[in-house]
Amino acid sequence: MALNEEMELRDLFEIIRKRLGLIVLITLISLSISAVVSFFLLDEVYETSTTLMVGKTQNSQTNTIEYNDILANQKLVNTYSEIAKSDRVLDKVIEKLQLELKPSDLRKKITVASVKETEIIRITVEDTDPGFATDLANAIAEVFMKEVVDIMKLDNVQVIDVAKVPEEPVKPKPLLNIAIAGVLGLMLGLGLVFLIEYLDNTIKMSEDIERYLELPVLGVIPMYEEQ
Amino acid sequence: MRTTGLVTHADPKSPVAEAYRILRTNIEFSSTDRKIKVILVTSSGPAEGKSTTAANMAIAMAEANRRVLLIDCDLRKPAIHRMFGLVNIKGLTNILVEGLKYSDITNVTEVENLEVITSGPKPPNPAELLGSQRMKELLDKVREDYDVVIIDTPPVLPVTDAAVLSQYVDGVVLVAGYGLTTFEAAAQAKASLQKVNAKILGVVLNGVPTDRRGGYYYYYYYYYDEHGRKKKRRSSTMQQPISMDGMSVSRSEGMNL
Repeated sequence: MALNEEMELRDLFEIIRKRLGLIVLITLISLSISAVVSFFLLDEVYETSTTLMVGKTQNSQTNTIEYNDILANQKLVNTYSEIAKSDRVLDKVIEKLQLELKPSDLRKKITVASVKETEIIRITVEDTDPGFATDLANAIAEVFMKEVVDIMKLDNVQVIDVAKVPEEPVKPKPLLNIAIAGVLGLMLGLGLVFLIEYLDNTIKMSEDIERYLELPVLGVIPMYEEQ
Repeated sequence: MRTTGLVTHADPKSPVAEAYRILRTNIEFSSTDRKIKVILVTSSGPAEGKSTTAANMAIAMAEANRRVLLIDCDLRKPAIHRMFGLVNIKGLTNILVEGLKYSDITNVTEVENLEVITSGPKPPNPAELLGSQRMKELLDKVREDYDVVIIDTPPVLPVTDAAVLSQYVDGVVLVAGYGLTTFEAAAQAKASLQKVNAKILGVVLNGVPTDRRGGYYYYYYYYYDEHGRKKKRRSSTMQQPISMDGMSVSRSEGMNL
């Protein structure tokens, strides 16, 4: 009832102050849930990547790099990205590494993206096992290069960086998660408190009596604690 | 019910007593066209502080040297006799049922100028009794003998007692409990009273916590204690009494009305 356009900042603070305990409680609960989940429930995920360059073909006629070639190569990057994630490549990777996975499962672990405005493709693999992630990234790069030769009849992809075994997991980031949970919990708490206040349609302010009941307020009697 | 007891009498310097004095002033000025003599105190629901308000209002008025009669017309859950430490063997119902003289039933209290008629034994038909000719005659009589008559009644929404009585009075004071009375209930109570053409003088908001809520701020004012020492006292501003025709009534401390 008190939430209206005439509500002043002071009233907002008053509402928050009145139910500060609830807000703190909700924030703490969400903090602890997020801490438990981050530290105990979430598997650690490792990430590693290999970069490939879509460059000049080896049997190119000229030694000068034409601007148009670069543009064309940049366009090709998108095509290559799709090829790298295709079943054709992934099936061979599975075969090569003797995995018990479907290509679709594998695809979830892989991100292929061109590095912005360059002719470089980065194949990123995420997995709970850092060794496996490294093997996978390198296997994909290897198979992909073979396949590109097959498919595009071009041999213009070179590996720039091979995947290295990551030492630190990228996920979860417990502190980040907890921070996010804290902010969310705080917002939730505030939202809940204001909702409670909004749904509370009891009379609290003499101004409200005059406004909604159109009756004068004859007196405001403070609460009296008997000593 | 959170009773504040007779704080106006027990602790006349308290902010609460002050609040009742301001209420008294506001009631005095709430009607310009005619004298408000018989005032009915009610609320939408139970436990909002009707009896407390009625009793303290009566004390505040008695303090202003007016002859005040407080009648407990809540025949269902009478409370006034307990507040004043009176025995409730004979009271209003004896007047209404047996036709006893009211002057034989009236109790004097420790508050000067304030007399009380308790509810008397519980009758089976309160609303009927309160709407009876005898009740009307009683109020006509006491109107002659007192300056102010204050009537405590049951709540408006569950029973008709207050609405029935409101026909015989000059004004109705609607009590609302802070954080207790909903706007819907108060509006319903207002509607029920208006249906029987009751003159609602206004609302008393009861049990307001003394923190910074709704125009209710701490401030310090000085008062003299019994020993004449200046004391700093934490208190609350009440809203100013209703101003009429641009004339604002200031704090009513020591105002003789």
